[in-house]
Amino acid sequence: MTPLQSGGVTVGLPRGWEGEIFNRAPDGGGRSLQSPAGVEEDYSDDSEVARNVIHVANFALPAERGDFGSGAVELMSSGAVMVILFEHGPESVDTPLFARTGVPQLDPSEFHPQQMQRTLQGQSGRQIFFNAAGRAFCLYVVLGSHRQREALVPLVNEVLRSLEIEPAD
Amino acid sequence: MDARKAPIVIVAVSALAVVVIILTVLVLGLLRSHGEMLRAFNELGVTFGHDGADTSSASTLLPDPERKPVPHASERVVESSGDGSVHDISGTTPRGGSLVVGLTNRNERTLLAFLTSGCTTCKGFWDAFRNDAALPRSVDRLVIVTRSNDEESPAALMNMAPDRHSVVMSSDAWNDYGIPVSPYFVLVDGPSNTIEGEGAASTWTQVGSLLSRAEADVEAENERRIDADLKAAGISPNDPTLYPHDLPGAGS
Repeated sequence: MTPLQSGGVTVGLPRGWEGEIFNRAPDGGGRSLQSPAGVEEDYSDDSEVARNVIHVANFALPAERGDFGSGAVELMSSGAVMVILFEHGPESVDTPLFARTGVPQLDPSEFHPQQMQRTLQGQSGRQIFFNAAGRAFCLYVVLGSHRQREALVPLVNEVLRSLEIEPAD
Repeated sequence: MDARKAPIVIVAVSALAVVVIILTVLVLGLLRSHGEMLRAFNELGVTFGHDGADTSSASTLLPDPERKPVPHASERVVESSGDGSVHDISGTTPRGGSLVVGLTNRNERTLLAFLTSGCTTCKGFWDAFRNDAALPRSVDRLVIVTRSNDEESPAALMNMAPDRHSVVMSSDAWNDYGIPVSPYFVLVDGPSNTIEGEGAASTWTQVGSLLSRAEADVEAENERRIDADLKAAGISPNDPTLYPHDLPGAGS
C-alpha cells in the first residue's frame, strides 16, 4: 500500500488508488464547503484551526472538487468508490453526534441511494460520524454502483483498516 | 603600379589581413563555445540530430516497448533512464497537502507533464494549462509533476498551477520515470499498465502531434503482431475464414 500522510492522518492506498489530504482554511477558503444531503448540522465553526479533508478513491480524482466529492462523484463508474474524511473542530469531539469511537467498518446493508449528497442514478452512499484519538471526523463513502455494494464495500473497509489517526497537537 | 598608389594598396591589404585574422579568431571562439554547449547538453542527456540542424523547436516521443531514440532530421532526441514500468506517484501539493496519484491498473490514459517553475520552455506549458489548453483526444487527464519542495518553490508553483489539473511535487517520480530534462512528457496507458510513449517537447501543439505519432506507432505494431499471429495460425490475408459472409451457410 502507498501511504498518504498529512496532518496526523495516515491512510494506506492499494495499488492504483489515489488520494489527497488537504487543509480547509477556517474561513472555508480553498475549496467549496458543501454538506452531504440529509445532514442538518452546521459545518461552519468558529475554530481558528484548519480542518483536514481526506479524499481517497480508486478512480482519477479531478483537481477541482468539493469537500464532499462534488465534481468527482459524477465521474464514478460502477466499480468506483470514494472515501471522504472530513475533520471537525475539537469542540465537536464530545458532542453526541460524534459519540461513536474508533474508525468504523462498514456493512453493505448500511448503504442507501438516499444518503448521497445529490442523488445520482445507481450510486449509493453512507455517512458516519465518529471520534478517534480525540479528534472528530465525518466519514462519507460513495459507491459507484449500489448493486455492486457487496463487492465494493470490502475495498472501502480495507482502506479504513489502514487508517491511523494521531492525537491532535 | 603607380608608385603613389603603392602605399595605399599596402595599407588596404594590411587592413584586410587584420580583419581576416579578427574574423578567424571570432569564428574559432564561436566554434569553441558551440562545442562547450554541445558537451553541456550531452551531459544533461540531450543529443542532437545527425544533420546538426537547429533542434530547439522539435523533439520526439518514443513509443514503448522499443524506448530507443527515433532519429529524425532536425529533432532533439532524449531518452529517459526509467525502467519502463508504471509507478504510482506520491508527493505533496504546492499548498502543502499530501497527494498520491494512482496510475497502475487503471482505466484512464494519463499524460504526465514533468515541469519546473524555472525553465523558460516550461513557462509556455504552465500558461497553456492555466488557459485550459485542450487535452489531446486520446488523453483522459493531465497530471503535472514537479520536483519536491526541497528542490522547487511551492510559492512559485501556486502562482503557476492551473486549477483544472493536479500538480504533484515528487522528486521520487522524476527518479522512478528517469526524467532526463524538462519539460518532459510520459503517456501512461492504464488499461495495459504500460508507458505508451515519452519524450521532450517545447510546445503543447507539438506534444499533440507527438502523441498522435506514438499512437500510430502502437497501432502499426498491433497490426504487425496480429498479422504475425494469423500467419502463425496458417491464415493468409485472403483466407476465407476472415470473411464469414463467404462461408457456406452464412447469410448473404
